Amino acid sequence: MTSHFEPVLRLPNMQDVGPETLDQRDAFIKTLRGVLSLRGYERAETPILEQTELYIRKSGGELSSRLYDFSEPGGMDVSLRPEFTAAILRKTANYDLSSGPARIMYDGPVFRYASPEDADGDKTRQFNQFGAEMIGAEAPYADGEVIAMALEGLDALGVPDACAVVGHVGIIIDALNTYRLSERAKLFLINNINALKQGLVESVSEQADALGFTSNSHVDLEQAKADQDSISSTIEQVMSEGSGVTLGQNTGMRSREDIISRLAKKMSQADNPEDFLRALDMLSNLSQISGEIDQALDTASKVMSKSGIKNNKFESLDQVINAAELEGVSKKRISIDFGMARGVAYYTGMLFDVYSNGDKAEPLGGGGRYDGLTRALGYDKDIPSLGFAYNLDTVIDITQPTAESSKPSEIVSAMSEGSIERAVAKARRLRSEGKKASIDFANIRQGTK
Amino acid sequence: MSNLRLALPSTGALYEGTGDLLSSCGLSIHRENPRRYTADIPSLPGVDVLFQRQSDITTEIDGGSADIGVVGLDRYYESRLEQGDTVLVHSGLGFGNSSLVIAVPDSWRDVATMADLADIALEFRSKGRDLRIASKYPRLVKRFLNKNGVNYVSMVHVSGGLEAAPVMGYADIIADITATGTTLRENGLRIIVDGIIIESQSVIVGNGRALATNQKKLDLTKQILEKVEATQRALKYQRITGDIQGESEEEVARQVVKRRELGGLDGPTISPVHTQKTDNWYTVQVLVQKTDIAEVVSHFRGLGGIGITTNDVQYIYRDRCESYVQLVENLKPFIDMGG
Repeated sequence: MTSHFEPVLRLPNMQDVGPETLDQRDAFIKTLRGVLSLRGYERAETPILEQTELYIRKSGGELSSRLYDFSEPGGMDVSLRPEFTAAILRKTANYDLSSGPARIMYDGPVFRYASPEDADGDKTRQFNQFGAEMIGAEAPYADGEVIAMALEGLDALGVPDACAVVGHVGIIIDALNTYRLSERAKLFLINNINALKQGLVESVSEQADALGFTSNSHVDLEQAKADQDSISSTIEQVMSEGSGVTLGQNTGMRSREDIISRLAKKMSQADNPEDFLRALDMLSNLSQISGEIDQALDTASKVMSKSGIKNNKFESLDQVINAAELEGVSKKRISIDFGMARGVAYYTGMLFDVYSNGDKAEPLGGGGRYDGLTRALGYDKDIPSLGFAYNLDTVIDITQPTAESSKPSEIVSAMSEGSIERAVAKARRLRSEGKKASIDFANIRQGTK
Repeated sequence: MSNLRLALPSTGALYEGTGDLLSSCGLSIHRENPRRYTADIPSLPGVDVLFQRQSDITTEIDGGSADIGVVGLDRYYESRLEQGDTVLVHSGLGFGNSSLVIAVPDSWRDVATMADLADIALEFRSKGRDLRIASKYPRLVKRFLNKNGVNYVSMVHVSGGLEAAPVMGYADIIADITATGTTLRENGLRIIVDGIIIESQSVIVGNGRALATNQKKLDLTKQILEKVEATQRALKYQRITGDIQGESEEEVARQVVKRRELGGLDGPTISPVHTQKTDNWYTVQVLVQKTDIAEVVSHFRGLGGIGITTNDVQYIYRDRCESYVQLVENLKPFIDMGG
């Protein structure tokens, strides 16, 4: 009889997983827990479902367009977790950290939507992470520990030639702070660092033109520089003199004062187009520097001094790398990339990715320092923290299967044993000896007692 | 065998555009009276035309109650199911060009970019409210807003007269389709500089499963695509004809193709003119882009050409129908599935 319904298909870019991969994953998780517990990391689990707000606060636009968000039956806006860090921080933010940092490790599935039109539209939307967070620890030695640990874990899993690429958001932000730029302009530049790294400075520059970063603001406010009140009164004055600038009838839920005061604030922070272009040029040069530690630092120093930036934070990057060396990581396994600036919404210091065999196509994991995240999540203090996570699925993809494959069980046939009763008895005996035995139910014939 | 069910928009710019396109393709629709929601195409038997609301067409094709249909690309992206049966059949019919944009009250002088809007959303949030956005495209709009860091929003679903929403007070800003921006401006709204969500135009979409498993429907679709493509191509060209004197056909041909770019789509056609005169005259025909007509005329004159005339052409067929080749490619997943 044919069914009235068609079979229900699996969701696109989701996977069913078989025994080999599951065994391998279990084995990897066990190994990694072993490596991390030697350093005092303890396990934690947080719900797969959290309030959407938790992730919006953490990541801004970057991750929130990838959330699986929906309204749960109780009416709350919730999301499947796209990562663990925010939830782990929620769990630990009120811990007493006076006797040292909290070291926490976790593993489980995370969910990130990508539409077919996106660049990574073919990626699996549910994948498994194994990660760790250290809450309440300052740079640089904690940073050294986390980088070293991320590599140690891969070594223990048998990943060939694991290496780390390290960047530093703090250096980039510091360098940009030497220019007179609004937060908006800085964020724009940092968000475009990937494009700059690929040499697409012209297209970034065009975008900047469109967004008005490179043109002088249309009201001449030289005399009112950085003074919000006087800008406000200038705007009011211009409007009352009727020089064509009016707010119009409908301002919606925003009052006239709201608009004028924000306009004044914007103008007082207006970007100097020359500064913007110089910053763009500097960042475009800096972002393309990557490679061996000493050489990269040397080239970066030259870019900085050429751009007139005297104080740079290279020292803090150097300290992190030395701290990793102290933890036993050869400097040969570390390279620098100044064009690394993902997740700028919350990373504040060093950040890194780990790879195998110098294959930089797909990172096996990554992490970094996020000192300001607790405040962003709504707690009234900054807790210096950092962490990392592996994409376990990617790690499993590139390693040879090492998990002891489950031996096939002996099949006990009812037919060759003569009867189902004898077959069941034999299977029970085998199992009591610790052997695997399963019964083939074909051609069952009941025996005579 | 069942007919090909072609769903067309029942009103608006896309209704007019589709009617004009089909007429120009020699596929005029015959509708017994304007209140009827079914029609046929006398020159293409086997096609049932169904007039539907544009916003329903993608869903109906996905559900199998129509086989192919004309919709805006924006509507297709908004309504299609990711693992559904709908595929793109023709990726641009050349009318219904418009953009889905975010617009704010013009009085919000401080808001020029999406970054400003993200700021405003936070400002609203700190006052315990969400920024309300009215749109008929909740899926596309929400993802676009999230990507741009505008997270604290609530979508207001309205079906008509979006432009009035901010004045009426049931939304703060809107995301709507606009071709020129005039209606938005007239309603005191301004488009955000980087607030363009999608550039759209009319496309043909179809039910991949129906087309992959029913040869008659696929053949009829192919005939429509052939005519559309040949007509669209023909719109860009004209045939130009002139009489030129010369030693021989070969000699005239050599003269004409000296300017290779003026030699026509497939080179000139040359035939002798049978006159009483002793010298040899030849009629030269080339199919050239309309933008090149003036150049070709002066080129012909330069060769002593007389009696130069131009004609529009209705169809230009090439060695293959590009959009059909693409369709066959898009149908592969449905054939691999075993229909």
